[in-house]
Amino acid sequence: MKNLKLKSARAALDLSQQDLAEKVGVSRQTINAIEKGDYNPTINLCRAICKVLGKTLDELFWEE
Amino acid sequence: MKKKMTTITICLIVALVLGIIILPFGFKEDVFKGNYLRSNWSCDITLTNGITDPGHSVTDFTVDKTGEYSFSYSWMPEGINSKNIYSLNPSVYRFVTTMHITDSEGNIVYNTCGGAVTVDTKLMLSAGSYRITYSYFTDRDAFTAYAKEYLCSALEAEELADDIDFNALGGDGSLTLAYSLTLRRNNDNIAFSIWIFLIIVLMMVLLGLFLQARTAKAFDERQEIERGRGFRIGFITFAVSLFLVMMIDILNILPMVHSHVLYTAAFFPGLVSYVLYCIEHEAYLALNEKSTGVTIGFIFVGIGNALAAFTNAASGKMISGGKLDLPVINALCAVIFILILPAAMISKKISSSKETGTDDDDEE
Repeated sequence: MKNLKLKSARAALDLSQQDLAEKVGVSRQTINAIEKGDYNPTINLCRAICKVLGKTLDELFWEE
Repeated sequence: MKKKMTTITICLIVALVLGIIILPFGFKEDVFKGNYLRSNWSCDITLTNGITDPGHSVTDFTVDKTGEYSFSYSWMPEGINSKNIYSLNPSVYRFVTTMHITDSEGNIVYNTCGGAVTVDTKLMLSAGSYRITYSYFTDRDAFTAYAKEYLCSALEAEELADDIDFNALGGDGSLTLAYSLTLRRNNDNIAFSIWIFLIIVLMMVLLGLFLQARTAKAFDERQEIERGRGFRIGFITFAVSLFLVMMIDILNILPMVHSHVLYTAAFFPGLVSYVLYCIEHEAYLALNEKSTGVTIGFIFVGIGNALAAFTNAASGKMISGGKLDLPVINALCAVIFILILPAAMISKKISSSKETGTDDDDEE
């Protein structure tokens, strides 16, 4: 299941996948995999992404 | 800390395996010039009225380094090639070849007078030139008796007696004796080999620690998980291929290939499946971030193996004893590195490009 919330939050800050990847210390492919729903990140990575994007875990990763 | 210990443990295991593979090469003296001598020759002996002609023959050799040497020598009538003969002692039948080794000053270093067909012993030799002298003693009918009653019964080869014409020495006649001499310097290279082994262990540990420090930053959690899955798939593939190779070996399905080649080849399906999995799942940064460079690197490695394969094929090393030997692995590597891995890299790149086309955020 695609993570469109993450994608839109990243786009709102005008960050590319590569930019976000560098800020959270992972590969671009991993950010891509998270957005495509191919990979479930650990809580640590979720927190790192949330900090960079200024969002909460619920806002980015909670499925409604 | 636990991770570091794991890394060190893995490195030590890898170093041990490499050491076990490499260490025996340190013991192989023939790789060091001057430490190994092997000589095969033959000598025609004529018997006239119970007297051998020549009465003796000589061969010379030179030792470069002082030390202990393993000395093996054997003789047998030309045409016989059986280990059964080694246990025989023709002196029982009064046909005797004696051998003695003298140094450059004529001092006798070693002497055999039992007339044994084969001699295995250890000699302390100083650097210098040596001469081996073979002397023949017999009397009428001695060799015929030896051949007919002793040798042939052991070999179960009456036809050999006809071929070789042992009867010739029963009266007057001639016989060709084939000699084999092997001189091998014993291991004062053990210390050297152990040092090499320890250096390999140390280098592996340092390399492991370096890679660990490097990869800790280079790879993220997803890639580590993917690599773990890749290892599992690779191991299972390896286990299956090893089982298949065992079956092939036991059932002799591929008689044209040496067993050790099959067992070596068994590693490749596991390795290739691991690499293919990692490429497909982007488990390594370099594989996908620098895919063009990695692909070119693969091709270069493949070309190197292809050249080695061609060279070996041209020099006839590809086949030994009528079977494919280890150099064929170079050809296998060439196929893997020139065709399979680049194809996987290109395929992944194309699929990534398509994804980019459908999703404008999937930048390459």
